[in-house]
Amino acid sequence: MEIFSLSEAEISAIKLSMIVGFWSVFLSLPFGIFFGWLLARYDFIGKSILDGFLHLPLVVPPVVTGYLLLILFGRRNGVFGPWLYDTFGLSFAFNYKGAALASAVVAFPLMVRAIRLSIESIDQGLEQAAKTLGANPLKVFFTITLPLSLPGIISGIVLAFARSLGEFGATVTFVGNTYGQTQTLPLALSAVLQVPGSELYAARLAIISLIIAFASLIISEYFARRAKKYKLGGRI
Amino acid sequence: MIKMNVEKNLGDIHIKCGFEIASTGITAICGASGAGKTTLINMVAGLLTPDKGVITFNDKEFFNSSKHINIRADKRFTGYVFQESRLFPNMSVKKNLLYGYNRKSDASLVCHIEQVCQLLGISHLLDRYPQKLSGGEKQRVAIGRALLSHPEILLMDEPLASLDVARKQELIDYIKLIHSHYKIPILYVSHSVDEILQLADNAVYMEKGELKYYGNVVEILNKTSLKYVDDSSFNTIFEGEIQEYDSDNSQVIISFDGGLVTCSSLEIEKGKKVRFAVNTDDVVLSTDYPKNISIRNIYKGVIKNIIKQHNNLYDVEVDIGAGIWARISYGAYKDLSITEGKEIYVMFKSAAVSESIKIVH
Repeated sequence: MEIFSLSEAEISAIKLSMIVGFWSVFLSLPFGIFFGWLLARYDFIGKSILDGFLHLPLVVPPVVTGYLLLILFGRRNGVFGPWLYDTFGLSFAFNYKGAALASAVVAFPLMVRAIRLSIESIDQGLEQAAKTLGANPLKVFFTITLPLSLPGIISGIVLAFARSLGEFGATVTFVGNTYGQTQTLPLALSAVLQVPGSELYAARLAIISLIIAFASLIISEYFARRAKKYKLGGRI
Repeated sequence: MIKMNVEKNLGDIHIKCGFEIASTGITAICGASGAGKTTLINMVAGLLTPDKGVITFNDKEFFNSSKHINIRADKRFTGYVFQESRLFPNMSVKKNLLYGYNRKSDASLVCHIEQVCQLLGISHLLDRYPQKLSGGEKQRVAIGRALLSHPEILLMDEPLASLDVARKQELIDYIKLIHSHYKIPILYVSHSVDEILQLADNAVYMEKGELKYYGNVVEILNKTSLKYVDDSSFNTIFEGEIQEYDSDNSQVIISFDGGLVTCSSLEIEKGKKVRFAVNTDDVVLSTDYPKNISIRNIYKGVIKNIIKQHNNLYDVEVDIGAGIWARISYGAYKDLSITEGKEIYVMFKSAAVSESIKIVH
């Protein structure tokens, strides 16, 4: 039965993956909603450039993303790194905050996309109707736009969370592979594979990753379906 | 007073519109589809911004391009009822109704949810969600929601367009009821003569983005019917008042500018304002007073206007106190020697009127 109980290293990796996933989604959500809404509702000069820029992490090799993060947020030589450390005492080097930042950046396009699509699918006539009933732009957003795009926002959250669970390249480049600090599931798996004769451990980590990813997809699918039903006239 | 003097270029259509109309009663914005009616009402609501011009409602400037005034839609105090109800799917009927309840101005309509629900017959729907309502119910809730947002004016953009005929008449009656109860001015976009005849006091007629006529609704409809002068016949519309209803014979006597009309009808209360239409094909002309004839409605008048149609038919307008149009053949035109200024008798059957009687709000 020993095969079913998790080792300390495995539990640490799972925990860290969850923490990193949580923070990366939690902190990027407001920006995700803002950019999703901006892209869905407004036409402005440079919109396609912004759109392309936000999608970059999806197509750029994660290692490049990690490298750019180092250049921007490296504590000693980064553009903002030293300032962030001096002002807020914030350092991303070799800790879970850095892993969360890397995950957030890589997962951001997925989140923005899901939110943008769901805001685009809201009938703008409803927002107009709210306006004529005396609702200021803020009230329109919080009583109409946000609740109606909620299914899309939730599916964006799940997608981004799943993506951050699988994040490897940017994280390892940006903050390295430190046990207990930045060693999330994929990083742990990669570390284990370096050691000869640990195939069984590798397989176990792979299966755990599969289970978590699969569960996320099922949850995402569930909300996507609810969203569809909602649009056809049911309610949440 | 509603004053509008605006221009807007929408690419394929250029909106140009200037009118000034009393803000009491119901004003219809009519015209063919694509004439710019919805654009116009959206400009009043503040959902569309004109390129230039002025929009004033009771001395309040909604928009003035030279003074750079453009009041936001949520601060204009208009209650808007759209073609599709646009109820919020994430809120119950009650929450929909109360969505705009908290705003108020000095000139706001004062009403309460219980009363509005009772008038519109929606009290039993309060806990339901919009998805579970029928088309007619949705529009009634939408009207209630607009009323309860304390508006100073109601805007309605073809509110009946998505309903079947029976529901349409039902909703027209509700709108009449609301208007007689609250006396709130209404701007009503429609291309249906039937709705306009029953509801409107004044009308604004648009054609290809430009304002053509505005003023009393009967006058406007009679002017615009000439637009359709071609092979198909058209109606002359009159406004009158019920003088008498004879329940034994199901007959009604209506007084109008040309005198009295007798026709059969369902019971209508004495003193009610009605409008009726007479088709050009149903009007008969005679140079002598006709005797021993079954036609009940005979009037003496003077020929005012003659239009020769391309298919050798003649449309003749006779002034009998009000203008009435008759369509006659070339033979009749010749034999009666129709000329402008000639005295002539005009007649039409009761049956030509009966179907068209509309009770005005």
